[in-house]
Amino acid sequence: MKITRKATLIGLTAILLVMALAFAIQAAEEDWDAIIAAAQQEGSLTVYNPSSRMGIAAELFEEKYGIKVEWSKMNDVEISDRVAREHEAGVRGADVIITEDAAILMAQLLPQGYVVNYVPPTHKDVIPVEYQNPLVHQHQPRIIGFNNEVYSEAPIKNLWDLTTPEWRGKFMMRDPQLTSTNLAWFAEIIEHADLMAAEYERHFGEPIELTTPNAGWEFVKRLANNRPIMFSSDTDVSDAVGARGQTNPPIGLYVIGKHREIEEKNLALEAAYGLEPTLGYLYPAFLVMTANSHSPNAAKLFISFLLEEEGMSAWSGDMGNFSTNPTIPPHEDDPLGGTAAWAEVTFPLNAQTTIKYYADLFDFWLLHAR
Amino acid sequence: MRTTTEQSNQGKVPLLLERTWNRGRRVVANPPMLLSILLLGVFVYLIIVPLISLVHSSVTLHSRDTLRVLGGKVGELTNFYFQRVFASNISEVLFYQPLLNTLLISFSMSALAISIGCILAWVVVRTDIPFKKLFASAAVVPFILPSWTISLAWMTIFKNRTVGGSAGILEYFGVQLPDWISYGPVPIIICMALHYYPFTYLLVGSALRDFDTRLEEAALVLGAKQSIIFRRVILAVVAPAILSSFILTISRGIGSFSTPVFLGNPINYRVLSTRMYASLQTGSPGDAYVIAIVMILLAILLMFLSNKVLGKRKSFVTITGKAPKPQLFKLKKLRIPVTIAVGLFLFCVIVVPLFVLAADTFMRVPGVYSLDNFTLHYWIGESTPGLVDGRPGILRNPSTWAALWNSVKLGISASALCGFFGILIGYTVVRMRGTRISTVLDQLSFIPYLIPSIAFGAIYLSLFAVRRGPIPSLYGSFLLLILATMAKNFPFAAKAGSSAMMQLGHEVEEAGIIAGAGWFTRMRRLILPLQRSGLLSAVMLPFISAMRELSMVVILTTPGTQLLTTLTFQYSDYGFLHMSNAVVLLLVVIIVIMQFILQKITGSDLSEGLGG
Repeated sequence: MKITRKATLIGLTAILLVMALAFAIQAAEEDWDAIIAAAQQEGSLTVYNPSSRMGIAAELFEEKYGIKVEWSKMNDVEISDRVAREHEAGVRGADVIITEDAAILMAQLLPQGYVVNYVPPTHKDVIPVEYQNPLVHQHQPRIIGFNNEVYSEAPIKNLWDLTTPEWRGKFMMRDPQLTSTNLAWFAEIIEHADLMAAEYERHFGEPIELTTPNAGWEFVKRLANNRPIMFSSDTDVSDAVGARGQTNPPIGLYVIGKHREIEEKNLALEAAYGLEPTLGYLYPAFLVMTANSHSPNAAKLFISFLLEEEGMSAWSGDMGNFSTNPTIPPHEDDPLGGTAAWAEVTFPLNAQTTIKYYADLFDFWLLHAR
Repeated sequence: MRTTTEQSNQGKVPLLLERTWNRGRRVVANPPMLLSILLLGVFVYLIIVPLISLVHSSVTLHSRDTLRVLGGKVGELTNFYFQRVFASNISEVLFYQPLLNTLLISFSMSALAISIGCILAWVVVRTDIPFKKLFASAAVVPFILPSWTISLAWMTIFKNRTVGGSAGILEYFGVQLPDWISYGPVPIIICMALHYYPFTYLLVGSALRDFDTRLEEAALVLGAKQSIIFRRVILAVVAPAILSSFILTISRGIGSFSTPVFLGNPINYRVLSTRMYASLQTGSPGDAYVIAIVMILLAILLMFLSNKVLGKRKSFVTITGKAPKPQLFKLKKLRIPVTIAVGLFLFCVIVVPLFVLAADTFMRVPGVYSLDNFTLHYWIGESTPGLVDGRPGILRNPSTWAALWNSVKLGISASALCGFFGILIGYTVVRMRGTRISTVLDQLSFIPYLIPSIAFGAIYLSLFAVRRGPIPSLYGSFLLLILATMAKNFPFAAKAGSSAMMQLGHEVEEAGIIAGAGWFTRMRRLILPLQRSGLLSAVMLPFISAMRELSMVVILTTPGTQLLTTLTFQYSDYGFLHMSNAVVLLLVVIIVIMQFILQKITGSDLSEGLGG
């Protein structure tokens, strides 16, 4: 009798607590005006991200809310390293990060509590659920492109062409050791090993001879051995591929957004549509806040702002950047018309695949790319 | 001397207690003793603890590697990195090949630098070549410039299209260049030799200048042949100078970072320092720390060997009395060709690089050298989309001024601290001479010299990246840069401080004591004013070296603490070589002005600045 009463009491308390908590969460989430006010009190925030266009978004945000955004452009290895270090050090660092390094985000930053996923109430019902955990800000295709001043049509038809002597020292990409997404692309290629083997046989008319576990690893090895040229930025790649007046131009892997510079820089660039089995890859950029942000409200407000049309305008004004917010349409110049179509012709990256191969792949590349 | 006055303090306290009491009092009442204990604390904190932390960091698991060592926890002890670096399937890439490259470059570069230095020294000092004064001071200029100036110029001239981007001047004019001229060991060796030959030039030059020509005459009178005179007399006297310049040069070679990073990285040619940097960059700090340990051991080994060799040979340098004005070697017919050769050489290593860098910054589209491509955009232009990602010209760019201000701030604070500690170290070491603590202090202050700059940066990163007990994390703070720069310059500050103190007799201070002045008054009114010039060189050298240091700070700066040197590096990393060149030129102007001021104030020759 006594015990039951006690149990009931505990049960009731628990229910009450849960309700209170749920109410508190709901209340906190719904009081968006309070967050805005608190954000303005905080006055500033720091953002690490891989894009220089963050500068435009930062200005718009400051104009709108009077909150200053200190932003830095970094590669994703740098971002995750800094966030981890700042967290361990307990120093004031980034409040919001945009990272393309899905593997380290899923395997380390989130589970170790360096960053937290935050979907603002303003966008809970807007952003598709599959992009909410963790929150994806936008998708971008990184594709293989060629110089269309020299070649009237794509000089390669199959990805395996990149491993032939003809393209030795003539394929350019961002350094996979610094660019997690390139490494993740290799992981997808390894995951699609059977497809790669079939494509090899279809293209060259004979089955592939393996020196590695499967055709995916074999592709990575042969590509690495073929002396690819590695840069630290997409601009370097697209400029080198697209410069006019060349006789023997290289092929490159770069973000399709670089095609926006074709006119300004007078480049001769075109994507190698029809390339089998894949034109490149489609990768997400994740938008999260750090666990010990010193301006948590400003961080939340900024995340919400980046999901809005105004905040996204820094990117969506040019083609090649697809907001996860379905109310923001793809750019009118977009040749394929949206994320879904790009996912068809490229390998969309999957964080779990990257995590599976990361350690081996990193060293494998280091060993063979000499 | 003081103990006698303290004997009066006898009472009924037990003997042992009294002794401890007295000893304690003696320490407190004895400023040099107190100081040396304080300094010992500073050294342990800034030099010994970081070294221990480096070793510790090389055997603990780092965050990203939880993806590699499955089930491993961040911070747990592991031999993963040592195994990876020394005995795994990628050891060759991570360690052995870079080690071989490092040795190849260091030795060849030293050989070349020493040859250039010796020839130049001999021509300038011992022949009747004209324009001696001009040549003599021009010859050391390459060393004053940031070490990567020549490599940037090399790239601007010799870059080929292999790695894409715009080609260099020669390719623009239709000269096809093979890879080995554009990148890799050959240009690295040449560019480094051109930066480091002044070591040899200065040391051998001064040995030749002090050389007593009567020795030569004596040999001649005794009927020795020219070849024997050269081998048995001249070489024997100059050999120690050559050896010490060899040590100086090669130890720089082992740690050098900026030249290999610019000329080696594009074709994946790595030396230890750039491999270490790449490991840090790609999120494998564990590997980097192991490589840093190897670099430090290598430098210590070299120093040890050199001490053995030099220690034996030192007896040769016994110069007595003032030698008569040396008889100059008559070049006769060769006088004009040699003058032209020396002039041309100096023109090529000083004027051409700077001119080429400057020219490059005025080209709107990089690599197109025509008049209609001329622009001032990269200097004073406003932000234009499509040009260097919309960055304004460097003189209009707030990040340039922020970086300049940071560099100056770093230079001033680190050098002021260095001057302060330099004098204190000098005072303590000299006043406590003969005691064990003085020897220990002297040796501790020398340790940073043994550690290659980039490894020193790694040490500080490993220590201050996270909070360790009472030591707070300083990662991302400006204080970290100041501490590292100061500690790295301790050897020079200590040397300047103690050599100045050596010349100051004890009598001055004793006079102060007799006059009843307390320790602080003595320091303030007597010691410091008398040490002004020593203090100045203890301050100026760290300042200049802070202004042009890259390899150490490149791993310690964060976006908020960018310096001019790291800014040039970042621009070239983004592919904005002309922006990078413009910032380097700005840096050159500042450094040359500083150097000029230093020489005017101290009236000293550059040879004193050999360390920097």
